Amino acid sequence: MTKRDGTIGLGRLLANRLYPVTLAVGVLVSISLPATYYVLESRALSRAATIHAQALSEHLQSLILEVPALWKYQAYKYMVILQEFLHYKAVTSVRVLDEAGQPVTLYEHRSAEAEAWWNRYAPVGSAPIIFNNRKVGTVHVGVSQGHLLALTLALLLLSAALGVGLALVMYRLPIGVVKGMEAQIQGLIETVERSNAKLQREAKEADTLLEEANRERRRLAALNEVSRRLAALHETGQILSLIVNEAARLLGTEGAGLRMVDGEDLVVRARTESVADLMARGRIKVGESLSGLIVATGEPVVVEDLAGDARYDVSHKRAALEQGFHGFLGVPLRVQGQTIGVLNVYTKARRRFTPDETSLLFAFADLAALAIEKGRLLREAEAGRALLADRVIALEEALAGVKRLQGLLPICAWCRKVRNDQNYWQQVDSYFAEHAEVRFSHGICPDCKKKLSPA
Amino acid sequence: MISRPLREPEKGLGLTVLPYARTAAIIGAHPTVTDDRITFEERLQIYKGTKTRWSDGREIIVLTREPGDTSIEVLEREIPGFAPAYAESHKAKRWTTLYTDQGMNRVLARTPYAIGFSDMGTITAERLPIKVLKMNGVLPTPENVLSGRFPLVKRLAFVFLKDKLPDGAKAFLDFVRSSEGGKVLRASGYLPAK
Repeated sequence: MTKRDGTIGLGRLLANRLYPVTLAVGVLVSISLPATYYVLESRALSRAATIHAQALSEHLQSLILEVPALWKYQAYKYMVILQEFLHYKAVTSVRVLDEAGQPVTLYEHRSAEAEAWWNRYAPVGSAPIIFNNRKVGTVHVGVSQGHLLALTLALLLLSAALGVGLALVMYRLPIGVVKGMEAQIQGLIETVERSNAKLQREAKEADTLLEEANRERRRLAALNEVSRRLAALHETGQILSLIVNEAARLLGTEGAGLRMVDGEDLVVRARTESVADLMARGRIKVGESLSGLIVATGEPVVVEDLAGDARYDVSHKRAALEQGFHGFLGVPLRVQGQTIGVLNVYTKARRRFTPDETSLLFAFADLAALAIEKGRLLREAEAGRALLADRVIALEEALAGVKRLQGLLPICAWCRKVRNDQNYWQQVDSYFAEHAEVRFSHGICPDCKKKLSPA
Repeated sequence: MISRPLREPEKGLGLTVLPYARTAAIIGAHPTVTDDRITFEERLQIYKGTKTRWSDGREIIVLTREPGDTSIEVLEREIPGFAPAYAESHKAKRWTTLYTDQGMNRVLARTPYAIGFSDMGTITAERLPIKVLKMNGVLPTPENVLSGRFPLVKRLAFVFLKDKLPDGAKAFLDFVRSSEGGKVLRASGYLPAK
């Protein structure tokens, strides 16, 4: 129904289908009306001719009644009957047959009109001549159909004009209407197509949103899983190893590495084996190469092809090219707004990481930074706890010493010796040396010196 | 003047029917016919086409009237089986049909060996050469009509609108129904109405 140019071909289709129909209707109307008229009128003429024949038969019965045996020879009387019979009738011929079917020639009548070509097949009516319950002859009466043919011809012309007019109306009117409808339908189709395009766009947008939602859901699920696994680890080495491996897995990359800030440097703390050569320099300066740039700016760096990036460390670039690495994405590791390191992923294919992927690595880096920070805090807490334990032991030991010196200590009022637990009198300095971990340095005070050396 | 009862459509026209005479509806024949009587059964056979010859061997020429004629109605009323026989013969156009009393009388009087209808009044008044046949052996004499032995009777009546009847016509009707009028009717082959 729709043509190659996109328009609807209803009008043309209807025209093609209407053409034979309207032609048939035109011909039918042109012919059927005069034909029907001719057939009906011809039958009416035949009936009229039959009625005429019956009337003449009754007249002939009167004639037969007068002279039953000689009725076929009453020319004069028949002439009188015929003249009266023909009065005001369109009868063109009369033929009377006797009981043997032979024409009664005396009673033959043919007008000049009967010889005309148009009356060659004119209607003829017949009636038997019945006298006293037996058929004694037959009357055939022919009537003129000249008037009928003239009227039929006139009707044919009129019907032909009517048929042509009707056919034209039948052909043009529906096509005109359909073409008008076609234009409306075309407009509707365009509207529908526009709506359809809009719907498709909206569906596409919905698909995109759904895809984004699914991606977000997957990302959250992955992050949740990683978070759970990170939470289960306490040893820093294990945490860092898990971070690089999960980063590579999350982003679908062939390698990942992590550097931590150490003063003014960035030190490699973890990496997958695949990128060992790409991070061969264990220590680089903040601001140096791509990792240093990330730490310096606190912003992620995306590189589609490391081969063309002048910021990348030359030795690392060489190693990358040798091992076929091209794509790069690095994000800072941040804790409480402070960058503590950088997390990088590497792909062998040229790859421009999308904002979603960058966002994912960012989110993962935040988790990783928290895990690292948690590890650091745990280490610090462990060190603090050990220090505290040492101090507690020292204090406990001091307290034990103090406890040993508690109580009433018997001392000689003269020699100043003290009695120990074994009831033995002991010098004060040796006693304290044993019980209070006090050592004495022997000297002489000025008063004693005066006493001992008055000079 | 009518010789039959008013038909249904005529009854609502406000017409006054004044009977004035009766006469015998007779089966008549041309004087050449030698038979002088006929029975109901023979009349039926003639109409059916099973009796075609007079007793002398001559062919019976049958003349009849159109449906609705008074004579036909009298025969249909009085002769059992006549109505369907007549209807069948009329449909087959078997017999020569005449459409007036005068036509029937004229053709019957001039057609040898013909049989047809008439009435005693017309035959008497017009002195027609028509042979009156005995019906079932009974002649249609005034006595037989009055006694009822001859059953085929036509009743003649004047029909008029009473309020439009001229005085002259009223006087004529009075005369016809008077004893003087009765004498004239009898002399013409009619019997005064009861």
